[in-house]
Amino acid sequence: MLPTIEERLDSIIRALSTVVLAGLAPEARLAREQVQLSIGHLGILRDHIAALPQFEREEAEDAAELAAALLGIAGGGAATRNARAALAQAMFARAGMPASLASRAINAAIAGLVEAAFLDGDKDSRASLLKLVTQYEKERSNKDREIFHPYGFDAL
Amino acid sequence: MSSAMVAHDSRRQTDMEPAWAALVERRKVAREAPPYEVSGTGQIRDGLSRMLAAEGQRARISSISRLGGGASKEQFLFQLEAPAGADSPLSPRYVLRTDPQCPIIETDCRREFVLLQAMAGTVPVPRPVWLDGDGRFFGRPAMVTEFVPGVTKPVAGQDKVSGLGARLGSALRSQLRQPFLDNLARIHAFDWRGAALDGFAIPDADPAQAARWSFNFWDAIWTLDKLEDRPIATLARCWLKENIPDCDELVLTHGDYRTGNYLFDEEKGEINAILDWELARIGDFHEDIAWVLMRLFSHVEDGVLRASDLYEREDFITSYEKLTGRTVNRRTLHFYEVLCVWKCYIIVAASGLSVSRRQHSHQDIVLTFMAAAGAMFAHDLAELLEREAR
Repeated sequence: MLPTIEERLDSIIRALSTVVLAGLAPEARLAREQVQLSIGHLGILRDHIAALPQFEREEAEDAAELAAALLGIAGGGAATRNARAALAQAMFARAGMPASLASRAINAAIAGLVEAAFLDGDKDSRASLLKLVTQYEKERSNKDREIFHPYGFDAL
Repeated sequence: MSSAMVAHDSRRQTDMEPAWAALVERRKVAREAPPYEVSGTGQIRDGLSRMLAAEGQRARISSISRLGGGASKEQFLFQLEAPAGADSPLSPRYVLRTDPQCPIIETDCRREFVLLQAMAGTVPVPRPVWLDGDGRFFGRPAMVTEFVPGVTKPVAGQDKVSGLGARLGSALRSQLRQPFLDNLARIHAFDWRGAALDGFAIPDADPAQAARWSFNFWDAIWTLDKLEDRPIATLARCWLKENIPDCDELVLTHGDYRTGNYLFDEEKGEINAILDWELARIGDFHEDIAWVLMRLFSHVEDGVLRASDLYEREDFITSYEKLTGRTVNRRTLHFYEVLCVWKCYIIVAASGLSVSRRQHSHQDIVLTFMAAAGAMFAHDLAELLEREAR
């Protein structure tokens, strides 16, 4: 029988909370802050671990969905045509890739297409691109904000 | 495009305040260094002793301790004891601030030192005392100021990094909101031409240079520190580049003006000192207004969002206009709001993570933690740029 990741993290959190933190002098302010932050960090990680593979798959699917939509509207000069081809290639190459790598590759190609659209994109396709990227990001970032909500920066 | 136009366009893309261009170059070098070893108080005591000797001070360091908080500088509080028979008065306590190997934001403490000297009498600031601008004594740039008592957030019930999601509460809010605004107005009214601030250049080659300098600096940092692409960050970059506004009036800007960056007396409800002047420059006042209005530094209570937990958005803008006689140009403000959110995205999601991956800060864990705020900035950018799609 092996300890689960959650059990291992729980035991580390308990050690930090009840022994390490208690053993630090009150004037060791930075050390105390960093131990407290470590405890918080580990607690959030413990809660994230099970959901992470699905989160990364969904992230890659979302990026691919945006890429497909952009391929449908992108038009313009040479820079846009080249960036469009690079995005199509990234979409093709993603099969079999780990989800996080696929997201990265597609997002890099989308960024290239955005830059190209500002260089020589058609007026209409650039307007559509602006709309698609902002709509996508509002939805995507809400999913990210949800998972990072426990960090406490965001009132949502 | 003619070759002359191409050259002109290329110059504009790299046009930056010289001191800030030097910071970009410094960062390129610092990034290649091995992991940072956190300074011990022994090393700091040694550096202080050598600095004090070089300054002709015979005072003895009687205590030294590390301060917590912050995400960028290492901070130490120390006390000096005057030698027997000395008649020079010493401040009871001092604060030493040094850069780690590679801070989350690259800044020049020599500029901050100059500015703190210049601002005395205009707004409350910590008195700068000694400077180690080239890192002769501490191995990296450092500055000593007199200690100013006060807090950056109410003592009870707060566990966030200073100023993030600032919560002051209604009593402090009513006491601090007018001084907060008054001090900002005084900074913007400061006679920087008369002060001849050493190391500060004036962006007056053309009306767009103030905004261009700011954009180009952050663009250079983005290019350097970016770890991966996010479509909205690229969209923001392209949009900003195309929409650089003119500046009608150059003022001294603080660059990081918000709750969390001033010390106040919690009992009296008075501001004791304005802190963190590293990002100050000669620029457009809209940049400070946009920074104050950032959601990260705001607090939501009963569905009402207050900037720095002091002012609702329109209240702040109109109060500033009324106090200063300036008109806030909404289009310019929009540009700077996009720029400020993009800056924050770069700071947390690119620079912070880049520094922590290289183990270059004493606060790597804070930087990794703060990177979680990147999603919020991505969302804010999408909302701000969505208006352009309508």
